[in-house]
Amino acid sequence: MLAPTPYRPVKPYEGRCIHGAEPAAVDGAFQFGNRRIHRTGSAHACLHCRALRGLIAFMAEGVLNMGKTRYDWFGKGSAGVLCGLGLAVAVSGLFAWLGPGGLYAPNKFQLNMWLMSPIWLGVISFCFLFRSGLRAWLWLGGANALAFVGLYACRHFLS
Amino acid sequence: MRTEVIRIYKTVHTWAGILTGLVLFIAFYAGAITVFKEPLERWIAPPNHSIRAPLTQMHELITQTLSARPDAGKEFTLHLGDEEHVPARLTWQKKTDGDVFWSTAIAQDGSLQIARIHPSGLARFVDMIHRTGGIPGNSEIGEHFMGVVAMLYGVALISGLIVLLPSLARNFLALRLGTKLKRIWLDAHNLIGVASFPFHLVMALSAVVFAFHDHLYDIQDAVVYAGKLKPIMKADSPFSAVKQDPQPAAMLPPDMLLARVKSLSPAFEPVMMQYRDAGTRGASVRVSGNDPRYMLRGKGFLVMSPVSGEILNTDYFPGRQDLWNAPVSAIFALHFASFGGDTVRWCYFFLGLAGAFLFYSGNRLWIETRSRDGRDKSAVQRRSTRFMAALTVGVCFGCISGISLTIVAGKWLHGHVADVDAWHKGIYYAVFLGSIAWAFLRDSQKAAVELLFLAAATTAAIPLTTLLAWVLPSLGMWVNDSPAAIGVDVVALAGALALLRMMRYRARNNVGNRYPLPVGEGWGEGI
Repeated sequence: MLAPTPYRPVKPYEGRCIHGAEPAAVDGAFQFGNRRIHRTGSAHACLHCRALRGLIAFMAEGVLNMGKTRYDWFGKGSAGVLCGLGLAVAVSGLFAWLGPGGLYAPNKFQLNMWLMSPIWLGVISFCFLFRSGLRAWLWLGGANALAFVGLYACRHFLS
Repeated sequence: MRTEVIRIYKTVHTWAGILTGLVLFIAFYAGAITVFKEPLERWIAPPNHSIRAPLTQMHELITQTLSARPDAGKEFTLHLGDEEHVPARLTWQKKTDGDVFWSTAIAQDGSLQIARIHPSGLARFVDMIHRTGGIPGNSEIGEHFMGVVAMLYGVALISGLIVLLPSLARNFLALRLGTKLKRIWLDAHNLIGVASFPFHLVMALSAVVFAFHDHLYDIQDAVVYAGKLKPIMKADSPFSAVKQDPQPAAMLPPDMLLARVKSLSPAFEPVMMQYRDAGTRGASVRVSGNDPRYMLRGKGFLVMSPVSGEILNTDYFPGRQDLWNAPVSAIFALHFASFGGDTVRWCYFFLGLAGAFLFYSGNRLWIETRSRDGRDKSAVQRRSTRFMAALTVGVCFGCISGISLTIVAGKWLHGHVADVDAWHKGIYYAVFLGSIAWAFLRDSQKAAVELLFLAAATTAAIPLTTLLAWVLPSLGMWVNDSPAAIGVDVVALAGALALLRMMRYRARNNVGNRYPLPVGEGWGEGI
C-alpha cells in the first residue's frame, strides 16, 4: 500500500506562463512543455491563465460529480420550457406532415395543435431527470435539431 | 440516483404546488359549480311571462320578427326548450349597443311583442371565475394567467406522482387518522391525488390549450404550415359550405328543418337553432343539442340551409364526427363533462370538489410541515408559515363565501338595483378580499373557524332564500320549482352542513394557538 505523499512545496518556477507574458509564479500543478499556468490568486496572473484554470476546475468538478444528479434549477428548467416548446412544435409538425392523411387531411389541424400540450408539459415535467442543466440542454437541443431538420425536410420535399 | 431524483422532484412538487394551489382551489371550486351551470341559471331566472310559441308557430314568429326588425336577421336564435332560464322563443343580441339582448313573442291577439331582456349573468360570472381564477378585468389576461398556472399544475401532478411512486403500494390506501396532523393531511392528499390523477391530467393538458391555443396556432402556422394554416382552417370550418348570397329567399319552417335533423339521428335532442343571414339565399342555421351517448364540445351541432333544407355539415354532430374531430371533441368533453348526461356531471362535480380539497390539503401540508411544535404555546411560527396559513384560510373560505353570497344576492337585489351583474362582481370581490383581510388581521386559526362559519352561513342562505321567497311572497322574490332549480337548494344545504362540520372539526382541533403573532407585530410591518 502506498503511503500518502506529503505535500512538497515546489521550487518557484522561473520560466514563463503558457501565455508567455509574465514569469509564472506557479505551484507546479499544470505544466505544458516548459510552460506553466499562473497560480490562482497570483497578483499578475494573465487572463489566459485564469480562463484555463477555470476551465480545468470546471472539468474536474464535472469528473468528480459524475453520476450525481444536480439541482441546477435554471439550467434544467429553461431547457424544459424552451426546448420543450421547440420539440412540441417540431414533433406535432412532423405528425401534421407525415401522420395519416398528410397536411391537408380535413379537420386534422386541431389535433395537431392539441398534440403540443402533452409534449410540452411532458418535457417540462421530466427535464429534471437530467443530471445537469448542460446535459438537459444538449439532449433536448439535439432532439430539437433532429426534429427540426426532419420538419424542414418535410416542408422542402413534400410541399 | 433514485433518492436524488425523488429529492429534486419533491422540491419541484412543493414549489409548483405552493405557487398555484390557491388559484387552482378557486378554479376547481368554481368549476365544480360550473358543471351545473344550467341548474344555476334555472334557479336564478326571474319569472318569465313571455309567451312560448309552440313549434308550429315559430315560422310565423320568424317572419313577423324579420319584417318588424330586419336588423335581427343577421344573427338570431330560436330556443326550443321551455325551461325557466330560456328567456323567449326568439332572441338576438346587439354587440354594438353593448351586449343588449332582444326577444320577440307573439301575443294572444296575434301581434308581435318586442322586448329588451336582461338574462342573469350569474352563471357566466361563476364560469369567469373558473376560467380566470377570479382575476378581474380583461378576461384574456386572466386566461393567460390561468394557462401558466395550468402548466405549473401539470408539472406538480407529474412530480407528485414521481415522488409517491416508490412508496405508492404502501401509502396509496393508507389513511392513518389519529396520528400526527401532518400524516393525516399527507395521506388524504396522496389518496385523492392518485385516485383522481387521470382527471387532473386531462384538466391540466386541456387548460393549457384553452389558454394558449391562439399562440400555439400562430407558432404552428409559421413553423409547420409555412403560413398556410388560415386557408386550411377556413376550409375545415363547419360553415365552409355556406356561400353568402344577399338575394332574398323564402325559408322553410323550423319544424320541417327539425324533422330532417330527427331523421338523421332520432336520439339527438335539439336545444337551439342559430340563424345567420336569415331571409337570404345564403342563410344558414346551426342546430345544436345534446346526445349523452357521445363525447361533445359542450353541445353537438350540424349546419343546414334553412332555404333548401339541405344539411351542409355534420362534422360536429354526435356520431358523425370524423377520425380527426372525434378525439379532439373527446378532450373537450373530458374537460366540460359533456358526455354521459347527469351521471357524469355528478361525478365531475365531486371530482371538482375533491380537486379543490386536494389543493387545500396541499397547502395545509406545506404549513404543517413547516409549523413549529404546537405543544409549546410560546413557539413563534416563521413568517412564511404564518403568511401561507392566513392566505390559505382567507382565499379558500373567502372564495366559497363570495360565490355563495353572490348567488343569494341575485334574488335579493333583483328589481332593486339597475345592474345586477355589476353587483354580482362587487359582492364576490368584497367578500373574497374581506375574508383574506380578516384572515391576516386576526390569528389565522381563529379566522379559519370564523370564515368557515361565514361560508356555511352564506351557503345556507341559498336554500333559506328559496324558503323565505316561498313563505313570504310579498318580498318580491320567486321560487323556481323545477327539480333542477330545487336541486341547487338541496346541494347548497348539503354543502352548508358539510362546511359546518368542517368548522366544528377545525374548532375542536385548534389546540392552543399554533400560529400566534408575536406581541406587537402586525401583518402590516415588514412584509
